[in-house]
Amino acid sequence: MNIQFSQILFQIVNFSILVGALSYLLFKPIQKIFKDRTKRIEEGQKAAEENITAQKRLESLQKKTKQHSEKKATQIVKEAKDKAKSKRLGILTQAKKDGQILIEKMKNDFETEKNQAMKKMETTMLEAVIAISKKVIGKSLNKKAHTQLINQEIEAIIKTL
Amino acid sequence: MIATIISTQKLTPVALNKIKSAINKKYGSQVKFEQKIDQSIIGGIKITLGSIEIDATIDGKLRRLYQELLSKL
Repeated sequence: MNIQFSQILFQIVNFSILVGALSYLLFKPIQKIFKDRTKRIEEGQKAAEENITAQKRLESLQKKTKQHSEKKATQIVKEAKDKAKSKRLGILTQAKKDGQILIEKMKNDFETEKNQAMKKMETTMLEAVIAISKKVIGKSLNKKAHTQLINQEIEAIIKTL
Repeated sequence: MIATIISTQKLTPVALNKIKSAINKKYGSQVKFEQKIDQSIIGGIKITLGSIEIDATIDGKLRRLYQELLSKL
Protein backbone atom coordinates (compact mmCIF):
# COMPACT_ATOMS: atom_id res chain seq x y z
CA MET A 1 0.00 0.00 0.00
CA ASN A 2 1.29 3.42 -1.02
CA ILE A 3 0.13 6.24 1.25
CA GLN A 4 0.46 9.45 -0.66
CA PHE A 5 0.60 12.33 1.72
CA SER A 6 -0.13 14.80 -1.02
CA GLN A 7 -3.34 13.07 -1.70
CA ILE A 8 -4.21 13.05 1.99
CA LEU A 9 -3.22 16.66 2.24
CA PHE A 10 -5.22 17.46 -0.82
CA GLN A 11 -8.20 15.62 0.65
CA ILE A 12 -7.78 17.37 3.93
CA VAL A 13 -7.62 20.74 2.22
CA ASN A 14 -10.45 19.80 0.01
CA PHE A 15 -12.51 18.67 2.97
CA SER A 16 -11.65 21.80 4.90
CA ILE A 17 -12.70 23.97 2.02
CA LEU A 18 -15.88 21.94 1.76
CA VAL A 19 -16.57 22.24 5.48
CA GLY A 20 -15.75 25.92 5.34
CA ALA A 21 -17.93 26.49 2.31
CA LEU A 22 -20.74 24.39 3.77
CA SER A 23 -20.47 26.09 7.12
CA TYR A 24 -20.68 29.51 5.49
CA LEU A 25 -23.21 28.74 2.87
CA LEU A 26 -25.35 26.19 4.66
CA PHE A 27 -24.68 25.94 8.33
CA LYS A 28 -25.02 29.63 9.13
CA PRO A 29 -28.27 30.12 7.19
CA ILE A 30 -29.74 26.97 8.69
CA GLN A 31 -28.64 28.11 12.11
CA LYS A 32 -30.22 31.46 11.44
CA ILE A 33 -33.37 29.72 10.33
CA PHE A 34 -33.45 27.65 13.50
CA LYS A 35 -32.71 30.75 15.60
CA ASP A 36 -35.52 32.63 13.90
CA ARG A 37 -37.83 29.68 14.35
CA THR A 38 -36.92 29.43 18.01
CA LYS A 39 -37.43 33.15 18.38
CA ARG A 40 -40.84 32.91 16.70
CA ILE A 41 -41.81 29.99 18.90
CA GLU A 42 -40.70 31.87 21.98
CA GLU A 43 -42.59 34.96 20.88
CA GLY A 44 -45.66 32.84 20.21
CA GLN A 45 -45.38 31.24 23.62
CA LYS A 46 -44.95 34.64 25.23
CA ALA A 47 -47.98 35.97 23.36
CA ALA A 48 -49.97 32.91 24.36
CA GLU A 49 -48.96 33.39 27.99
CA GLU A 50 -49.92 37.04 27.80
CA ASN A 51 -53.27 36.08 26.30
CA ILE A 52 -53.83 33.58 29.06
CA THR A 53 -52.98 36.22 31.66
CA ALA A 54 -55.24 38.76 29.99
CA GLN A 55 -58.01 36.20 29.79
CA LYS A 56 -57.61 35.37 33.46
CA ARG A 57 -57.71 39.06 34.29
CA LEU A 58 -60.81 39.48 32.15
CA GLU A 59 -62.49 36.51 33.78
CA SER A 60 -61.69 37.91 37.19
CA LEU A 61 -63.07 41.29 36.15
CA GLN A 62 -66.20 39.66 34.75
CA LYS A 63 -66.66 37.73 37.98
CA LYS A 64 -66.28 40.89 40.05
CA THR A 65 -68.66 42.82 37.78
CA LYS A 66 -71.20 40.01 37.97
CA GLN A 67 -70.98 39.91 41.76
CA HIS A 68 -71.32 43.68 41.95
CA SER A 69 -74.31 43.66 39.58
CA GLU A 70 -76.01 40.89 41.52
CA LYS A 71 -75.41 42.75 44.77
CA LYS A 72 -76.75 45.96 43.24
CA ALA A 73 -79.78 44.17 41.78
CA THR A 74 -80.54 42.58 45.16
CA GLN A 75 -80.25 45.98 46.79
CA ILE A 76 -82.54 47.59 44.21
CA VAL A 77 -85.13 44.83 44.63
CA LYS A 78 -84.97 45.20 48.42
CA GLU A 79 -85.36 48.97 48.19
CA ALA A 80 -88.27 48.59 45.79
CA LYS A 81 -89.97 46.09 48.12
CA ASP A 82 -89.48 48.37 51.12
CA LYS A 83 -90.81 51.32 49.16
CA ALA A 84 -93.81 49.34 47.98
CA LYS A 85 -94.51 48.17 51.53
CA SER A 86 -94.27 51.68 52.88
CA LYS A 87 -96.51 53.01 50.09
CA ARG A 88 -99.02 50.24 50.70
CA LEU A 89 -99.17 51.14 54.39
CA GLY A 90 -99.59 54.78 53.45
CA ILE A 91 -102.41 53.98 51.05
CA LEU A 92 -104.16 51.79 53.65
CA THR A 93 -103.86 54.48 56.31
CA GLN A 94 -105.17 57.14 53.92
CA ALA A 95 -107.99 54.86 52.82
CA LYS A 96 -108.94 54.30 56.47
CA LYS A 97 -108.91 58.04 57.12
CA ASP A 98 -110.94 58.73 53.99
CA GLY A 99 -113.37 56.01 55.01
CA GLN A 100 -113.81 57.52 58.45
CA ILE A 101 -114.32 60.99 57.00
CA LEU A 102 -116.90 59.60 54.59
CA ILE A 103 -118.71 57.80 57.41
CA GLU A 104 -118.76 61.01 59.48
CA LYS A 105 -120.06 62.97 56.53
CA MET A 106 -122.75 60.38 55.88
CA LYS A 107 -123.73 60.46 59.54
CA ASN A 108 -123.96 64.25 59.46
CA ASP A 109 -125.91 64.18 56.19
CA PHE A 110 -128.28 61.62 57.66
CA GLU A 111 -128.81 63.74 60.79
CA THR A 112 -129.42 66.84 58.67
CA GLU A 113 -131.88 65.03 56.46
CA LYS A 114 -133.58 63.50 59.46
CA ASN A 115 -133.94 66.91 61.10
CA GLN A 116 -135.23 68.42 57.87
CA ALA A 117 -137.75 65.61 57.47
CA MET A 118 -138.86 66.04 61.10
CA LYS A 119 -139.28 69.77 60.62
CA LYS A 120 -141.21 69.23 57.41
CA MET A 121 -143.44 66.71 59.14
CA GLU A 122 -144.05 69.07 62.04
CA THR A 123 -144.80 71.92 59.64
CA THR A 124 -147.24 69.74 57.72
CA MET A 125 -148.90 68.68 60.98
CA LEU A 126 -149.13 72.30 62.09
CA GLU A 127 -150.67 73.32 58.77
CA ALA A 128 -153.15 70.48 59.09
CA VAL A 129 -154.06 71.51 62.65
CA ILE A 130 -154.56 75.13 61.59
CA ALA A 131 -156.67 74.09 58.59
CA ILE A 132 -158.80 71.78 60.74
CA SER A 133 -159.14 74.49 63.39
CA LYS A 134 -160.39 76.94 60.75
CA LYS A 135 -162.99 74.47 59.57
CA VAL A 136 -164.11 73.47 63.05
CA ILE A 137 -164.33 77.06 64.33
CA GLY A 138 -166.09 78.18 61.16
CA LYS A 139 -168.71 75.46 61.51
CA SER A 140 -169.18 75.92 65.22
CA LEU A 141 -169.96 79.64 65.07
CA ASN A 142 -173.60 80.55 64.56
CA LYS A 143 -174.96 84.00 63.69
CA LYS A 144 -175.27 85.00 67.33
CA ALA A 145 -171.76 83.89 68.09
CA HIS A 146 -170.46 85.83 65.08
CA THR A 147 -172.22 88.96 66.27
CA GLN A 148 -170.84 88.55 69.77
CA LEU A 149 -167.36 87.99 68.45
CA ILE A 150 -167.56 91.05 66.16
CA ASN A 151 -168.75 93.22 69.05
CA GLN A 152 -165.96 91.96 71.29
CA GLU A 153 -163.34 92.67 68.67
CA ILE A 154 -164.77 96.13 68.00
CA GLU A 155 -164.49 96.92 71.74
CA ALA A 156 -160.91 95.72 71.73
CA ILE A 157 -160.06 97.76 68.59
CA ILE A 158 -161.61 100.90 70.05
CA LYS A 159 -159.44 100.47 73.17
CA THR A 160 -156.29 100.30 71.07
CA LEU A 161 -157.17 103.25 68.81
CA MET B 1 -159.53 108.17 52.77
CA ILE B 2 -161.68 105.06 52.66
CA ALA B 3 -161.97 102.63 55.56
CA THR B 4 -163.00 99.13 54.57
CA ILE B 5 -164.70 97.02 57.23
CA ILE B 6 -164.59 93.30 56.47
CA SER B 7 -166.65 90.80 58.43
CA THR B 8 -168.56 87.55 57.97
CA GLN B 9 -171.90 89.29 58.32
CA LYS B 10 -173.23 92.81 58.17
CA LEU B 11 -172.49 94.83 61.28
CA THR B 12 -175.33 95.97 63.50
CA PRO B 13 -175.97 99.73 63.32
CA VAL B 14 -174.77 100.13 66.93
CA ALA B 15 -171.53 98.32 66.25
CA LEU B 16 -171.01 100.22 62.99
CA ASN B 17 -171.54 103.58 64.66
CA LYS B 18 -169.14 102.66 67.44
CA ILE B 19 -166.35 101.84 65.06
CA LYS B 20 -167.07 104.86 62.85
CA SER B 21 -166.88 107.24 65.81
CA ALA B 22 -163.65 105.72 67.04
CA ILE B 23 -162.01 105.97 63.59
CA ASN B 24 -163.29 109.47 62.92
CA LYS B 25 -161.96 110.52 66.32
CA LYS B 26 -158.54 109.15 65.51
CA TYR B 27 -158.21 109.98 61.81
CA GLY B 28 -160.63 112.83 61.21
CA SER B 29 -164.13 112.94 59.79
CA GLN B 30 -162.97 112.86 56.15
CA VAL B 31 -162.92 109.07 56.36
CA LYS B 32 -165.47 107.24 54.24
CA PHE B 33 -166.63 103.75 55.20
CA GLU B 34 -167.48 100.69 53.19
CA GLN B 35 -168.48 97.23 54.36
CA LYS B 36 -167.47 93.95 52.79
CA ILE B 37 -168.63 90.43 53.62
CA ASP B 38 -165.94 87.75 53.42
CA GLN B 39 -166.51 84.25 54.84
CA SER B 40 -162.82 83.35 54.48
CA ILE B 41 -161.98 85.36 57.59
CA ILE B 42 -164.02 82.74 59.54
CA GLY B 43 -165.06 85.22 62.22
CA GLY B 44 -164.23 88.58 63.75
CA ILE B 45 -163.52 91.83 61.92
CA LYS B 46 -160.82 93.46 59.83
CA ILE B 47 -160.45 97.16 59.12
CA THR B 48 -158.17 98.55 56.42
CA LEU B 49 -157.49 102.26 56.18
CA GLY B 50 -154.97 103.11 53.53
CA SER B 51 -151.77 101.36 54.55
CA ILE B 52 -153.10 100.62 58.03
CA GLU B 53 -154.69 97.25 58.68
CA ILE B 54 -156.33 96.16 61.91
CA ASP B 55 -156.83 92.40 61.80
CA ALA B 56 -159.07 90.98 64.51
CA THR B 57 -160.27 88.02 62.46
CA ILE B 58 -160.07 84.37 63.48
CA ASP B 59 -158.22 83.67 60.27
CA GLY B 60 -155.63 86.34 61.14
CA LYS B 61 -155.22 84.98 64.67
CA LEU B 62 -154.75 81.46 63.43
CA ARG B 63 -152.18 82.68 60.91
CA ARG B 64 -150.23 84.50 63.62
CA LEU B 65 -150.41 81.43 65.83
CA TYR B 66 -149.09 79.31 62.96
CA GLN B 67 -146.17 81.70 62.39
CA GLU B 68 -145.28 81.73 66.05
CA LEU B 69 -145.37 77.95 66.39
CA LEU B 70 -143.40 77.57 63.16
CA SER B 71 -140.63 79.84 64.45
CA LYS B 72 -140.33 77.64 67.55
CA LEU B 73 -139.86 74.38 65.58
